[in-house]
Amino acid sequence: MDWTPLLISLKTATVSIVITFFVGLIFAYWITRIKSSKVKMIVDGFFTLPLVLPPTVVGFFLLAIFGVNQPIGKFVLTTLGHTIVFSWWATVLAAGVVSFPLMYRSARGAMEQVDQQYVLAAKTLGMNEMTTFIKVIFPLAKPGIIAGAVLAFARGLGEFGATIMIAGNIAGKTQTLPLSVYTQVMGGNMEGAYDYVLILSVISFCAIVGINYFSLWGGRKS
Amino acid sequence: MGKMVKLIGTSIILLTLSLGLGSCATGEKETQDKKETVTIGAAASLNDVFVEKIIPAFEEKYENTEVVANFGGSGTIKMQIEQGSEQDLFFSASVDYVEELEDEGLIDSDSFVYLLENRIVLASAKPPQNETIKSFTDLSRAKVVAMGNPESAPVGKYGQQALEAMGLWEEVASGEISYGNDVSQVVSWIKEGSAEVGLIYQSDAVRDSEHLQIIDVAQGENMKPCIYSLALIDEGKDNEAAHQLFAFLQTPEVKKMFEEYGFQWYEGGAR
Repeated sequence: MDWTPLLISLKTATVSIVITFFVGLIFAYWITRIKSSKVKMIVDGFFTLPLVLPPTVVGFFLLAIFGVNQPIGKFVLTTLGHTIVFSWWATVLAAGVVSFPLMYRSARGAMEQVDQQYVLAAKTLGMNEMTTFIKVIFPLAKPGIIAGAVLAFARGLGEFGATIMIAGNIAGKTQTLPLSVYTQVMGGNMEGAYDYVLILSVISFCAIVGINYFSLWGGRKS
Repeated sequence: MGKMVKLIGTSIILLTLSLGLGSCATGEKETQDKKETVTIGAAASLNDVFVEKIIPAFEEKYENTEVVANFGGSGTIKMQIEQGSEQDLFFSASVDYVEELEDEGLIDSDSFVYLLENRIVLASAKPPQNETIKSFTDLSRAKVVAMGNPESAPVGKYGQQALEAMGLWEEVASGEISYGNDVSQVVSWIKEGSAEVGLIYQSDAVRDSEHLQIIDVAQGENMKPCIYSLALIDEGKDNEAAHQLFAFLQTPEVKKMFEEYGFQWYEGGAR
């Protein structure tokens, strides 16, 4: 078995979740601070869009933004001398954008569940916003945040549609596990896909069971 | 309890509506006489000529017949046929896949014909991303070369054979290649400029000359021709509409359509 697609996938999903974790957390926290519920609704709509849009549409938007003939893509090409599309970072971009809503929504939900009494008490005792977030909100919302991160990681690992559109299918560089499965099966080589299918299924299943276990265990503790 | 009843009621209404919509979409078919259907699995490179020309012309001529076309990499369609998908005709960009199905007893051998020829070209977006690539021999200057996956798309196999014949394959293979599952994928990568250059069919490049530029054409004595072949699948042997489409595809009328879309008629005689 060729381990390269697995390594690429793990690398992509890991880097993607590290970025998505912080960006998702920040945006989730930011949206809980927005006072106007109308603004909140619309901003939330944008953040959640990649979750419900077909990945091909996400890929279309990413191409329209980062493609070599588009302003941002061109800018990066002229300043850094590299294209975003067809690079390994494109797999991270696709995985990150598609998995972002899972992280963001879980974190937001968890933070909204935090009893405001604690937050107000912390403020009364002189904690600034940053410290309140780190010492009060984050620990209380942790189970939900971690569940979101695990889901987002699993989703990033399985990203296919947007990836093949912006990262191509380059063996040893952008060919992730799902792309490898696709390439093998479309080429009539079902057997060649068995191992990859097994690996993806096991990781995804473990992620979900892990979340279930964690939420059960986390619930008992409190 | 009341809520539950409401919920079930809403569900039933939604279901009825969506099924109703479904029959609206196919309603046309039901109001006329029942239509005969012919399903054809065809190489992705045949997509435009079929959708824009051949299918409308055929359905006009045979009013009670409807063509259902399934486009993809010829290797993928071959796999679908092997897995038992019900298709009546197979129009492959490669002779090999039809021969393999013949060996497996899945096609009607008497119907197996060679029909079209195509060529492999080196193409880029218009204007090109990388001006230094002027022929196949400059391919090592490309960051990424887009090709068809040789396992699923004949355009990839032909491309590899062409590069091998020119003694360039090893050099190209040691660089970065992005493999598309069928030629449409490769074409879109080239058009977007995601891949600087790629190997596609002449017909595709001619068809979209507004966005694609032919840099070089693979030709030479030791170059194998890209031959498209057509055959009736066993499933379609008793389908009259399938026989009609099979015959229609070999008429001078259709020949003209193919030629207009950049294909050459196969003149090599019977297979």
